[in-house]
Amino acid sequence: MSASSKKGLLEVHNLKKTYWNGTVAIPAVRGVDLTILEGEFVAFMGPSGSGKSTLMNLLAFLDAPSSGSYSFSAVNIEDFDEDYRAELRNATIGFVFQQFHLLPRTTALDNVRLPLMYAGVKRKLQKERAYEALRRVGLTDRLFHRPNELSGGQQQRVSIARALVNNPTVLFCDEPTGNLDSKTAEEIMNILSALHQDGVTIIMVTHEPDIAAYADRIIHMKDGKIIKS
Amino acid sequence: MIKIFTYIQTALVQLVKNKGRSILTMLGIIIGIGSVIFIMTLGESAKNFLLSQFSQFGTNVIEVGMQSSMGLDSSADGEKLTLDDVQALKDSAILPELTDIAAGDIVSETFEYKKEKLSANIYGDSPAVFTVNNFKIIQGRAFNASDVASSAKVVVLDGGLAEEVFGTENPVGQKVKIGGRFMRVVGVTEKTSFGPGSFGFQMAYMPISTVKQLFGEEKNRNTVSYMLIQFNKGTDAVSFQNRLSYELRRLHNITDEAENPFMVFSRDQAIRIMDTVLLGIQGFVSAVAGISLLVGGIGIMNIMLVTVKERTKEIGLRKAIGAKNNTVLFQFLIESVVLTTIGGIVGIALGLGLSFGAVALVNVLQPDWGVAFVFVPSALIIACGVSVTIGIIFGLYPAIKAAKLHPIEALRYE
Repeated sequence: MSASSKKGLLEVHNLKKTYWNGTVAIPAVRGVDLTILEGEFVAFMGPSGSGKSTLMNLLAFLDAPSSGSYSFSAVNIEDFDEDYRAELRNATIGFVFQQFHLLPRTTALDNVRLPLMYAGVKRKLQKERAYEALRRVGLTDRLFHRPNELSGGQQQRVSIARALVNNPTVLFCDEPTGNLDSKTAEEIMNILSALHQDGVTIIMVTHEPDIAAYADRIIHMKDGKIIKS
Repeated sequence: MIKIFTYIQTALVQLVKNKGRSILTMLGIIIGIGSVIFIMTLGESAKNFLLSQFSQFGTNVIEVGMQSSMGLDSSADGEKLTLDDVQALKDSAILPELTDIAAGDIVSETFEYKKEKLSANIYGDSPAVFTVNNFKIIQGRAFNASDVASSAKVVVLDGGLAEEVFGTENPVGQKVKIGGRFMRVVGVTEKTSFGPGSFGFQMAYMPISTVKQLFGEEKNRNTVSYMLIQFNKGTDAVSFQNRLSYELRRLHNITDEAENPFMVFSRDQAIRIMDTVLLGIQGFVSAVAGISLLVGGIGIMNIMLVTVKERTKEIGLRKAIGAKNNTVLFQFLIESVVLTTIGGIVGIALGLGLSFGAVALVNVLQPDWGVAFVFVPSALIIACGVSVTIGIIFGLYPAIKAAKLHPIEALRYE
């Protein structure tokens, strides 16, 4: 399938985000134009303060842009309120964080089940789908282990399972291997690559070139703008 | 969307994870609710018991005594209740509801049977003493009008005294010595755990004429130290009492109320006073418990604020994966409500347990009293309501704080 036949899943024009520290304006994203296609694996790179994380938060509906337009699946979403964005995140986005962000003292299965709880999925179905997601990341032997009983790589796999459980349109990965050794990092990247092969759209933020190399496309950012795509 | 059950389950999981802290936080609520339930249940049990005791002797009775019997010199000269008064009151046109009067003297005399010797309060009265007080004869007979007329040396024992002296032996027909004089026991009344004004004393009843002849002074032949005036049930007790007081003052030509030597006291009034006192005690304890609940509530708020702070990242994560503001709000609100409700339930159990134990203890110490444990459903419902309300009031601020957190900032919180 050629790139031109795919739809533009995310389209942003002149997207800006400015934070205010008292009366001082801190521009974090200064006018970004970008199209990401369905099924793409895109990596954002750039030094810290380049705005790549802020851009990802905007693309993942975690934050509202200050100005500019953003359409997701051809729907303009820049004016959505917080609750609507929460609903949209729940239905369409999966998150994988550098720090995993698993609930402590909660089993892998229950951690993975969490997004389904907010989606109002029936209890029995929650467990079935959480099991299925954990099977996809190869953790069926750790269903009832708590995060402190799991290795870093296993924890990140739980968090990938949690991101997948709602069958998201886009998987956002913020430095997914930042806390892992290189061997484990490779394992995680292999899982992400496999998901990409299955057709999942992945947007990843990283500052490691060998991790970014797994992506189809690398977007370099500096000072809140895209400098190379 | 999310069912309340899910919130409660999540809350329970959180509370179990912090067992020690949860229990300590609940203590204020447990103590507050526990003491309210304890005092309410105990108060109702006491009230129920005292009411049953009073009504055993008939609430349609007004007692008349002398002010002097309250500590002043009882031998002082002056106005005294007389047997003539008794007849005059019975005949009075303004007291049509009056049915009977028991009147007489109480003397304290030695009571001897074989080797037993103790002190007893001897009531010298007419046979009305049994009907007005509602004393039931369980063995033998009461003394009667001809016993009074002939100053017969007969005595009726209170069940308590009979048990103390005779044990299982039948006292009827036995000779006993009262104040050194031989009397024949003709009957025994039901055991009165406490009669009017005779708490803890051994009691016996004799014809008034016999008591006056053997133990009285010559000048007091015609006087009585108390009257128990019985009236028809359903009578306006206050009005009757007022007319009775008026009639007594008229009979003794008393114009100045300050010099009125007679004390008129209805048992109905006594019950009302007792009720008021109990209510006062319950109110006071409830107020103290209220302070405990307030302090407990502040403790809940404090711990919930700590919880929100500790779980900032969790809140960020929950919001990132789709929790709405209200979802987070309810999660924390229900956590605090679950905390206070469990505290309330434990408090209720504690209060009920303690009051049950207290009633049981009284029954062990005073097996005759037969105090019943009174369950107060309304107090339980109120206690539950109060627990939930405290959870909402003191959980709201921390819950709002949690709901207002921005997902990104919360996720980054260190």
